[in-house]
Amino acid sequence: MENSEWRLKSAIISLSPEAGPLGYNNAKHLLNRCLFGARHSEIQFIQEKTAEEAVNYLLQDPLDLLAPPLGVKDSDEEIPVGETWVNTKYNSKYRSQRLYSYNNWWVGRLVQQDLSLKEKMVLFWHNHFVIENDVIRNTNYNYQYNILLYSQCLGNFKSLTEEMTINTGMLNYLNGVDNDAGSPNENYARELFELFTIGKGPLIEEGNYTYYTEHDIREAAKVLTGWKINNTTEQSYFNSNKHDKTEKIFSEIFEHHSISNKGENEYKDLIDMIFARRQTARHLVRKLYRWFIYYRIDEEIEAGIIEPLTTLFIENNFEVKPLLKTLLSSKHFFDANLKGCMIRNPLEFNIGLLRQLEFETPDSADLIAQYGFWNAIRYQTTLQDMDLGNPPDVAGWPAWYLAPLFNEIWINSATIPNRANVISQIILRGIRPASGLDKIYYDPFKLAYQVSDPSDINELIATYTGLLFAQSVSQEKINGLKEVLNPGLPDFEWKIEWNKYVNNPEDENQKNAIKNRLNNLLVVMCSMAEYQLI
Amino acid sequence: MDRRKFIKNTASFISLPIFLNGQALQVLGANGIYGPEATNGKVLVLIQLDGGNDGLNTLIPLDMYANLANARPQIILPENKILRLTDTQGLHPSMADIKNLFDEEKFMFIQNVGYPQPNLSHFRSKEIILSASDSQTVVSSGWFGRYLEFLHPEYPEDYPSGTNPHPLAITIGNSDSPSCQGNLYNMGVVLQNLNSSYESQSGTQTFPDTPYGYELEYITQVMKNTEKYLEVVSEAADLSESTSAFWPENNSLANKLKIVARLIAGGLHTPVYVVNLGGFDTHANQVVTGETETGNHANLMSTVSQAIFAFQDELKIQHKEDNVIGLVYSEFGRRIASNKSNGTDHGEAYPMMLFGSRINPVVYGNNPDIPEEVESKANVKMDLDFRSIYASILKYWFEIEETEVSNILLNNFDVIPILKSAVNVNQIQTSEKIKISSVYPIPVTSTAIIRFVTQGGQITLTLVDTNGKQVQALLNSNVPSGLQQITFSRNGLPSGQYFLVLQNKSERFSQPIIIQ
Repeated sequence: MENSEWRLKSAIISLSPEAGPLGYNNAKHLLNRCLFGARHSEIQFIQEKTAEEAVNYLLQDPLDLLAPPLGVKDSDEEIPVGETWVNTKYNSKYRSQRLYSYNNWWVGRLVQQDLSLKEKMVLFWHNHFVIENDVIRNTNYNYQYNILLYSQCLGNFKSLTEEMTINTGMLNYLNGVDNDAGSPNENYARELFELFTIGKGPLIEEGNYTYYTEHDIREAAKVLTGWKINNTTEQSYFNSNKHDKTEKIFSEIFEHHSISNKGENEYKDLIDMIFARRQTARHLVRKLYRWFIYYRIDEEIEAGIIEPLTTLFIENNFEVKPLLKTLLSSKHFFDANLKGCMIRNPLEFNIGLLRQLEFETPDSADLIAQYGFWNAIRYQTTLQDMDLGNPPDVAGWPAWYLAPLFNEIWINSATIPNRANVISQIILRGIRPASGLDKIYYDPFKLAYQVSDPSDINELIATYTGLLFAQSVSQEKINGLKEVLNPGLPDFEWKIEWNKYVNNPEDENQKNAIKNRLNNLLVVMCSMAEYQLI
Repeated sequence: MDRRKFIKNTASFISLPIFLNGQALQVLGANGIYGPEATNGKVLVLIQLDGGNDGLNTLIPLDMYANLANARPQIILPENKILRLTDTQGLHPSMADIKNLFDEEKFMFIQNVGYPQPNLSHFRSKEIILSASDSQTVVSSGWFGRYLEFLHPEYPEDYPSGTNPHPLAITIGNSDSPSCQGNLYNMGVVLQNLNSSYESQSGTQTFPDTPYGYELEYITQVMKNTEKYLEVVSEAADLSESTSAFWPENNSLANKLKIVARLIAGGLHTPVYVVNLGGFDTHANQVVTGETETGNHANLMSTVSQAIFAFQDELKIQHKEDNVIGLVYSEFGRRIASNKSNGTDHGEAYPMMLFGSRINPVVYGNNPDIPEEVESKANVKMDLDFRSIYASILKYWFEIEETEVSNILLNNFDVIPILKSAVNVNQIQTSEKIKISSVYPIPVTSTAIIRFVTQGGQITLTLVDTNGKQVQALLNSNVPSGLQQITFSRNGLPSGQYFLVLQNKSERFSQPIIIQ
């Protein structure tokens, strides 16, 4: 519960669906929250739909299967460039090559994402069921973990929890493989309660965190004993010799629930027990609320949004889609006061620039350049404190849990210059995918031509501000932006200059002059505080 | 937690890179070579008149008045209202303040400045002017940016630092000036950007009382506190006040120059400031019919004139007058003939202007030639490449080697005598084409005969003191080529060491002279 000093001003506390066609601003709001930067064409595509139709569209499973990461380094002697390594047994000698492939493959998926909620939800679950690349010593486990997130991202929370419990990546990360009868390792059991399911409540007496106790952790650890990874097949399996076969009896909170004699199915019983508590659903609903809407949750939102959604989630047996559908098409979601209150995380910022500015990124014809380009973008997100695949610890990125700042954490004296640097690199200086390769430069005409009449300066500025800013900006700022594009000149001169370019496209100097004006405008716009918000 | 208190607390532990319109300036380690010494505390103020100033309605060739009146009947200024500078040159009636500066020997006009193969696109021509490129060549860096990069090759790594605590360039406006663009980074910072970083100029932004407004305020505040140079800039601004009585109200150029003056007076070592004024694209309604000395262009001229006068006065009060020069330029001039809308269309050459107490106070160059019959597309032709003025500024004002000047300007350009003493008085310059051949008698007691050789043209001969300050103008006129002589009178000058400086458009010669 948040400090009651903070109150949403006239917030619409309603889960009933927003009616009528979305229109541009609602469509932009929805897509910015569901994608990594809403493109103008995507906004236009869904703006005629109702909120429910649009959300249904985003919740569809893409028809294409997820293509696996490919080897892109000659120095990996087992994997030719262009072939995947995921079906080849891990070789620690090539760890760095495969991690490079894996990390950038993931970033590339976001850059190339469809109109689908999938990748945003994969990231949500990654931030929820954390594993860290740096800790996992087998890239095939990273991949198996990732595929699990991808396949279940719009599926069922409970099934995902079950599968995650015996996933190779997770068994490796939280020491499940070391958890044996007689010498328990409680690491996973603790996080299962504290972070992954029911969540930690206030410490109400020694060893009692309201929703579970230290005793429950110990008993759960026993339930989870015996799960191992076969280093040959690189799959997890149950070794009943290492399993604690004693009866596990949980605390009063769980009505002294008892688990025994179920061997490799005991973990499902444990998860059933935890999911039977309302708090488990509530914990996840709150987390999704913070993911999609805003980090502040006051009493009104708790009562009017979180509780009904919790009921809905339970009634739907932890299926994610009905929950997301209700939340993302609700009047509350589209409340004008809640638009633009979320700070772009580094992935949303960097990839949002590429997508929203229509940056033409390298295609798969040149895999070295393509992965190298993704790597350059990924590197820039790490400079903004977000390394995809490597959250700082098992709790995920602090932006989604650490009060009072929450996502304001992204904005600080170190990251702000780095954000500025990315803007200037993407728009002005070009991106070199790898040493020896040519820089890839931004072409601002692709976006400019999406304006219905780019020779009309007012329309151009209106389209750009409409696309890049969550809310309208003052006339003073609009005038400032016009001044940046068309300094000291009357509006009609922009039209003359633009037409001079359009009528003589072979005049490179004039084209370049227009390009510089457009680039300058975009640098200024993306550097504004307004661009940081979605 | 109280939100404002929180922001305040946050601010106190955030220190301090800068975020200004895409320019990240981050810290690195090596000391720059630049201390305040590198530019000798010298400052250049670039005043950009956006849109293309009508030079013929600014500095009027009086000997061409009849033809000019014929060519631009709708807008020609009444002859009797034109302010007389010389017998053949006059100023727009709204420029009385600049006439005063000229009379005080602080203003220079350089006629018919342009470049070969003029481009009449605003954007392209401005790029040419700011990058100092040829008309057909695209150069992405700016001329002053290249100079700063020459001084600070490591920038922005480790800037600001102990030896380079101040911004290298400051633009008062909404975005970086292309003139200060280096090959990769813009060398400057922007004050008064769209994040309202410099509140005394643009006022405090208000934020809506919603989650959006709350977060926007947070980000704005952090961005502000992240601006590495904000502290030194604010400090400099706080250390001085605007004291001149001449600062005009409602004059946007003056408002910007006021900030510049405060920063200079407050002790910033920043060598260049860029300000601009828009509105010069006077295709229509340049003047009020029947009262051509009024209207849009008159207002612009008076804005420029009053702003520069007040700025110069402020510098004088702050004892910074000798440290600062200003250059006033535009992307191009305008047509000789007026159009049917009481305006003028995009043109070519026009007069650039320099000001400052150290500036050579002349009208340099010949009046433009205005034929009796002027075609509607006829333009003032260039006599001097604008890059000659940049070269002269770099060489004489910033005192850098000629080879470096050529590197920075990507070619060799003639220099012109832009300063009262365009030479460092401690260095005797020799020249083949122009020289003082004899001074008799030596030492000088009351009068002397000075003989000199030139190739003819506009020649100035001045006597300067050891500080380079002009004490007497001996000659400023067109002379035939060959040997000439002139008589010098002491006129009560105190005894001591002086220098005679002989200059033409591109050459100069100086020689010490002792007066007893």
